[in-house]
Amino acid sequence: MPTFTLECFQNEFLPVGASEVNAVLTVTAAAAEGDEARAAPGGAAEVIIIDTSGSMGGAKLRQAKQATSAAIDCIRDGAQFAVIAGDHAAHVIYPASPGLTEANADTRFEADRAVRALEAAGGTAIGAWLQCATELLAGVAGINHAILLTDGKDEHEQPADLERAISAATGVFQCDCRGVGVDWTVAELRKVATGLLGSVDIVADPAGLTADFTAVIEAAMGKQVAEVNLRLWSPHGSQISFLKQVAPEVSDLTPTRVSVNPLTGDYATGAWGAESRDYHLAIRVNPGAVGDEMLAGRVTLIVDGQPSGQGLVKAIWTDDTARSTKINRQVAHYTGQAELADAIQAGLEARKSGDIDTATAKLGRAVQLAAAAGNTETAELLAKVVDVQDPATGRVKLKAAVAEADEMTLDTRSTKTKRIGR
Amino acid sequence: MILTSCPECGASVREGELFCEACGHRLASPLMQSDPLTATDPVAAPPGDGGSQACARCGAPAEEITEDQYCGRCGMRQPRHSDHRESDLGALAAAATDRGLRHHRNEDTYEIACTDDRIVAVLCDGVSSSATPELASAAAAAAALQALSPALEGPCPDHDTARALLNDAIADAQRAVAGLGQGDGPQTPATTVVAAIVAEGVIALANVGDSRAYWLAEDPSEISRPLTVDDSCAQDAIVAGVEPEQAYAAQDAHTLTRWLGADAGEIAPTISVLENPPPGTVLLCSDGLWNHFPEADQLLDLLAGDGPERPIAAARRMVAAAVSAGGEDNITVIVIPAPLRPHPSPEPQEFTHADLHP
Repeated sequence: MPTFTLECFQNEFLPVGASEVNAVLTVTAAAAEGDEARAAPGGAAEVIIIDTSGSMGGAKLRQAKQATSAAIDCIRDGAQFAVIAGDHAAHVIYPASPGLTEANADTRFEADRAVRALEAAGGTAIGAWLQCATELLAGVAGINHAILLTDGKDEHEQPADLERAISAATGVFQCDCRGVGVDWTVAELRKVATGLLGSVDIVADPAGLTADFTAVIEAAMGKQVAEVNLRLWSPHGSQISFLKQVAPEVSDLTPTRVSVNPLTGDYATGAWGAESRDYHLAIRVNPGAVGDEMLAGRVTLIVDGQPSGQGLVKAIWTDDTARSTKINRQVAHYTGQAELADAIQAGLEARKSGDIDTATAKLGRAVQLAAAAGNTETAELLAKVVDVQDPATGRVKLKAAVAEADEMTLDTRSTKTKRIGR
Repeated sequence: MILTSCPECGASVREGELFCEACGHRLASPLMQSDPLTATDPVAAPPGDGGSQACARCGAPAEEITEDQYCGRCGMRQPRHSDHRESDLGALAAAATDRGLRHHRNEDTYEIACTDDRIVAVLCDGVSSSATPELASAAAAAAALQALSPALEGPCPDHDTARALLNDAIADAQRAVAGLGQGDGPQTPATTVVAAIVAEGVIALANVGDSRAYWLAEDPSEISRPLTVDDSCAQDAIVAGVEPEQAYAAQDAHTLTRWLGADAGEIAPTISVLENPPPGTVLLCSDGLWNHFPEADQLLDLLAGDGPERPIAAARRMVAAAVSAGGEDNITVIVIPAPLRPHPSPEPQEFTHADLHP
């Protein structure tokens, strides 16, 4: 079992009258000796969801089948698994018997054969696929994970159906989403991934699917702790402005709060392997007087139900401006990175709706922020959508022609952040 | 000034209360007491930091106070023992320290020890802009006291012995603070120090930084004056010919030119010795007092004749005066009448915030 640590970075000194307290929390799970190959104590369950709608025909389905076969190969002996083929309904194509089956050489071979027999036909109903996975995984103890591959829009059900399916799946399994080609909708898959604590990414070229699927399954198999929650206490009269995961990517946890008592709430962060994530917490409190010291937040890490480490977010009011104006590097860095993600998404949205001025301003700001933070990956993606004239001031011009795949790649990866050097 | 009602909520407050019982408001002038010695009967077993008390701010019940001393309801840090501390050595000496009104914790530390014919005392003021100043002052004061303790044994220290002991004490204090390393904050932990040995016919003093010693003469016709010279930019300016008023108005007036800490370099303390002075009082104090009352005559007024008879009353009056004047910084004073008034069996009594607010 990995060892968890929680570190807190902030400037606790506030000027008189200030009410917003900011902190960056770094949670690190360090692998224990010999942990590498060990599965989670409660076991792991994996469901692979592959889109077999009519549009997947040809090269896309061929590559998707290959990727699925490779993914099945990565499922560890002893893990439970199933494969769902999705069109306007969901079909469990393996195992034939109800429920999941245990992975071994025989079952992996049989599953592979079932995948090879798939053909493309029918529509797309992502909510129905998730519903099917929820039925398979409900009540299964341990680390439950799904990977969802699609190439299209969720056309054959209502948006409300998808919403319902996401909330039913919340807490049952985590889901990483992959869009192949350029006919799917980033916002739709992002909704699934955010709701189910997973990632979303584009696989513009189906040839890249196998490597990507393998990586996703290996990461899922590497998880050793099924459930880690951030439990946040804050004083009477305070308000949580936000709690966001800010590294490795931005994801707003604020609305996921589950109340423990009137002053305390839990925020689920899903399963953990040996890894490190950063969170940005902002709390609004009643301002104190000069010389007052307040505990504005107490963050306790709850690992599989057990408290494992805590961080104190403090507020000390001072009339010493040298102290209160000091900028905390971590907080400033992630404030910028979150603004970067917002600027990209708003800029692309404006560009789609033909609002050139807003698009230019937002994407220009994004270029400036990416340059300032040394986020070269994002800067390179931006340069495919705008002509950068001056990264320092954010002066850009929208490109007349942009490959759809480039735009979607920028959108899906806008939430990926770069960590600050310590 | 004696408070009878809380300026925040209007509830009546007893003399000597540090905090309003009703709303937890910190009372600006808690130390003026008609009879301080009876008001501070030490409690049998001092409670732990905060102890089993309701929240000093919002009144939440004691069980809401967390182990790390925050209120589980309003979040406020509960008063620390170090927020206010006093030592009453009867007629021999007294010391008092208080957080003041503008700083969130007390970063000053004092140490005092005595026999019935001599006293050693140390006062340190942690540098606020450094990391963990409260640890720096505590480490320095403890190390210096340890080094001075031989002065309490054997024959009374003479001029040369006192000088040598003070030299060692400052060196040990410097080592102790330097041992705290660079710290994890922006600046290396640092502190000032002023230390004294008061014995038969000898008053010896050493200082680094801007914590001071004053001589307050008993006979009004004698001169009262500072016994130490600050290591500060203001002092440098005064030496260079700038008028004191102008020197203390400068932006960097309080910037120290010497301090104890890992980054302090070579420390050679300024040591001075008074031999057989006329009757008077040695006052050690941090800048939390002298910022408000820089002149020896002002301090003499605050002593109000209590020096020789009741040092604790004088110490409390000085702290209370600094708090009333705005309490801009932590305030610490040590009052030692000289020549020493032999005491039958000096039993030092220690009081902390919790004792004063049972």
